[in-house]
Amino acid sequence: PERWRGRLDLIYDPFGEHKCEVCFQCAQVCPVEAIDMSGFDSQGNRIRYGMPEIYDERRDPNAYRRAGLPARPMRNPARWGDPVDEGWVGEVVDGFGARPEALVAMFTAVQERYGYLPERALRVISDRTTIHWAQVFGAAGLGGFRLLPAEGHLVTACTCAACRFSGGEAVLAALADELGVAPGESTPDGAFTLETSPDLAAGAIAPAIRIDTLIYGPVTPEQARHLLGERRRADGHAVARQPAASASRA
Amino acid sequence: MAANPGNGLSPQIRLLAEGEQRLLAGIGHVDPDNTASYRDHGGYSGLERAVAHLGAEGVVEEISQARLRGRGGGGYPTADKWRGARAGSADRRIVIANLMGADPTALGDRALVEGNPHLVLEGVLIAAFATGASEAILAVRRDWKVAIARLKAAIADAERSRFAGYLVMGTDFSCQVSVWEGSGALVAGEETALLAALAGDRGMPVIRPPYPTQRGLWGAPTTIHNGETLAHVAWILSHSAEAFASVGSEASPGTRLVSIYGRVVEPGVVEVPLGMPVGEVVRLAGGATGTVKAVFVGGPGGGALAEPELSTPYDYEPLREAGAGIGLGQMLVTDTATCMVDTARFFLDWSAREACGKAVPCRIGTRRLVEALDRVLAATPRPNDFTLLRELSRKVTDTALCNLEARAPGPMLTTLARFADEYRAHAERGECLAGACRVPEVPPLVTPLPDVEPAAPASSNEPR
Ligand SMILES: Cc1cc2nc3c(=O)[nH]c(=O)nc-3n(C[C@H](O)[C@H](O)[C@H](O)COP(=O)(O)O)c2cc1C
Ligand code: SF4
Ligand code: FES
Repeated sequence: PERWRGRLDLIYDPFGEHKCEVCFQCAQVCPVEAIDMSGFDSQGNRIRYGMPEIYDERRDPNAYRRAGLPARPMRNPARWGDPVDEGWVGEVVDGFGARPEALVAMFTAVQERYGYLPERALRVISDRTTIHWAQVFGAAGLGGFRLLPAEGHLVTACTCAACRFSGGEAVLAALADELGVAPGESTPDGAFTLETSPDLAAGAIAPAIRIDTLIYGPVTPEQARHLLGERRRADGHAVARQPAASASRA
Repeated sequence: MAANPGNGLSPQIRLLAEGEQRLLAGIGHVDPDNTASYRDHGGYSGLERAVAHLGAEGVVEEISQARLRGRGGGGYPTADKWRGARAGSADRRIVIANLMGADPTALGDRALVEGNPHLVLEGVLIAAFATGASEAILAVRRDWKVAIARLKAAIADAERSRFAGYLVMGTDFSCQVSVWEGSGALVAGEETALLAALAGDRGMPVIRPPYPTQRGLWGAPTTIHNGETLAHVAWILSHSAEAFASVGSEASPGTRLVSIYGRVVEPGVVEVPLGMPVGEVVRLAGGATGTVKAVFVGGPGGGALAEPELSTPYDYEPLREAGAGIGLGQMLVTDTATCMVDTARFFLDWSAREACGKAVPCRIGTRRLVEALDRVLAATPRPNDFTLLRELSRKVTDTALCNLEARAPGPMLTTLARFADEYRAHAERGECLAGACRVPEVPPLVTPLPDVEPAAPASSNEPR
């Protein structure tokens, strides 16, 4: 911005590598609110930040970041704003008596219907439970819910320690190679979304993968490819019909 | 061998028949959905004994005699926790069963609530009676659908047979029990984070004191216990304190559900007396498939025990001195084909991802440690990386708001102390001594890296 004389030395360490984690603390304490920022942390991971009281809650990028989303506008902002049956969400919230401790149960109900938590649904939940919407975003982000829609079948490869040390990496590599995408991305034709999660708790059936709601394990890389092929063939002749509810976004 | 003959458990859980079967003994024989079947196997006799004969102080005394310690990882004496909860006057007291199963590889709690939900429920009711609580919440991980359904049915059944709800067994003790489905984050299992999530906030830890037993959920004194601890409470009262303390070590009597996995013949859940050497526990699981290089005891907050340390007894203090920890009973067995640097990076990265973000050293510090390990793995280390690894670990541990952060550097520090040659090979020559990592070709460093090997033991808490 014009007339700006400052030079931030915080951003880079003596080895020239990026040090700032976009944690917003400097912006928060800046008395003249001269600092504004949005950006990506050094590993592009889901980011969770401190308590709402510490940070300035009212700004949108803050709320997105606290929900564990990239601070910069989404690749497809329209997707987050998907239409939601707000009346139904209201009924779900009232069904739990709008009690704050039922927040996780409300999220589970919304995610079971939409496959993820659309922003409008989170705003309805926030209005009716009178919990600040950035805190609702934060609770959703920290609670291991999906905040981005999953296109097509959601393929989850388990990355818990049990799977990791019994061949889980080879299974993930096979899945990524078969779908041609990296974890966290969807295939161009929107038929599959690949993600990793440590929460599959495969235990004795490690390494395990989950396709939509079915957990398969123990799985060899070849079996993983076969399972994907099965889904493709099943979708192949089912394309005339409306795809499964969770992938219902047109 | 594997004891999973249709005992109604989900396929992920394999129970091993070896070890000292107490809590697991009922599973497969008791019908999880039928209170009568549980009663035929001696169920609710502990609650009857408590409510009809012992009275609240008597129950606390019995548990104190049994010297039961919390199985949630901290090992805090349960009787002391109850005395703390009973102290002072409060018109509302709550008991919470922590069944969050924060570490998905620890399946002991899940085996209990799926195989014998009444056992945990009885423990909750006894704890509520002993601490004068009239409300009990079972905080269960929302992925455990089978466990949630069985617990809800067990509660309804117990209320019908007057073991829960109003005027339990005709006495003036009443306890409303409810099930709450919690999220699946690693930090969500921490007691204060659980309280925050229960109150509708983010599941983030809170500085202590005040401890939950003084001021917990909505300000009421709250007793939080691990599911296994409550199962032991029920077992103690239906048997006796002496029978409980007949196995286990002097400092920590009784048994512990260990979830052992990795390079073992029979990965699964095995119930072992505390104090049993770690190597013995590995043998119980059918022994390692290859030759054991290291056993990571305690999950992301534990540490690595190399071959010479396998005689360490599986008990709170000895494991802590060896740099590991009991945690939730996780035990990962690795063989010579596993790279220690990569495994340390895996656990540290897991802690860094699951950190709630409330404490800056926890959020950013663990990530810097992961980046340092990435540089070591990519054979492009900075000269001060190994001092950074140690200095920053101490800072992260000292400023910890909760034990996820305090124990996060554990796996890295113990592997660095016990497998320094692997770190040096990776950092200087880009060579993986275990042959597991594909490292880019790099010219070897001209001058060797300083202080890769542990410094002279300056302070006592440096793990050997
Ligand atoms: C990161 C973290 C995760 C935890 N996860 C669990 C858990 O999943 N289940 C549990 O019972 N205790 C867990 N604990 C321990 C709890 O904080 C608490 O100490 C324990 O539940 C108290 O029960 P106890 O007195 O029976 O040990 C966790 C602690 C930390 C720091
Ligand atoms: S955003 Fe956070 S990490 Fe970045 S400069 Fe400001 S205070 Fe430092
Ligand atoms: S996990 Fe956030 S401070 Fe411990």
